[in-house]
Amino acid sequence: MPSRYTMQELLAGWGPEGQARLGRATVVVLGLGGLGGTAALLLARAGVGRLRLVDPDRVSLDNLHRQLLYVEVDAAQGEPKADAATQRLAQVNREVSLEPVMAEFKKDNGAELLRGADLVLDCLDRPQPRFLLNDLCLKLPLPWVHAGVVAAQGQVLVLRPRVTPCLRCWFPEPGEPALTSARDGILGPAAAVMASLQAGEAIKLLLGRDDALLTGMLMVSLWPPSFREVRFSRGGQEPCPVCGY
Amino acid sequence: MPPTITITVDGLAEDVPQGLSLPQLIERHQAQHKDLIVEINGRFVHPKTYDEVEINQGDRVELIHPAFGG
Ligand SMILES: [Zn+2]
Repeated sequence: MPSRYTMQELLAGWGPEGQARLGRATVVVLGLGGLGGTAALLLARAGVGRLRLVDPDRVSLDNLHRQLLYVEVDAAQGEPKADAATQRLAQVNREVSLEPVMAEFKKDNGAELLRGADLVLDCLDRPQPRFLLNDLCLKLPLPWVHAGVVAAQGQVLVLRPRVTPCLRCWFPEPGEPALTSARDGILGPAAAVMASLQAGEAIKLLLGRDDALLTGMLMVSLWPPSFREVRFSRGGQEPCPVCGY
Repeated sequence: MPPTITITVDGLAEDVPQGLSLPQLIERHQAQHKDLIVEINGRFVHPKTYDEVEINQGDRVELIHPAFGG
């Protein structure tokens, strides 16, 4: 009798042991939009033991072109994304413990939202809280996977304190972003691609397959199409004042 | 007319004045200085070293804006 997880357990280096590892893991998904909803869907299907689903917003009609978890009735009723996501994911895999949190990730609740986590997915929709997450994850320490998307492009980055550069290594002086979804829009397939890449890195981290992780920042564009992995270099600069890399 | 060199920016050929610095190139492209990923000939350029970088004939430059939406 094939089980729910047969087809992924067949993957090299996965098996029942890998599946058990996923089942013991707690992943915090920060942001449940085009990235977080789709990444959470993939992790729930894969059998990650516990998902904490964090978003302050409610579903609206202009979300539906890219936010695959939600349906029209969610938008019509203005359901909180955390609740709508929980309902949908519970239908997908009853074995996953789901913890909806309708809250914004901020300085005063950040540590609490990350409590007990093995891994964090950064699916936030603005730069500032991503840098807050960077600093918190360095302190705890906690690995995380960053993804972002605007228009038809985005990037994915795996961040492991003391192993990889941190987000401030890449962006030492974060300012106002040149690209914003409010002005430049988001291509639905681009959000789904970035979320899939992010979920893939998350699964490798949970399985302990560090050898197979992304090592640079993966820059992706769907329109025009390109994939390029940019390798970090300090270029003779002093170590990062935040993470020491 | 100062001598020009030919480089490639984001895949497109471009003639620029010889001796152009990376910050000047960034400005020509109205790219924001901060929060940019710059690669020259396939190598990442650290943001704190932009001022020291001069653009040379034949350089392949990528100026990539990160996307911080979700
Ligand atoms: Zn750093």
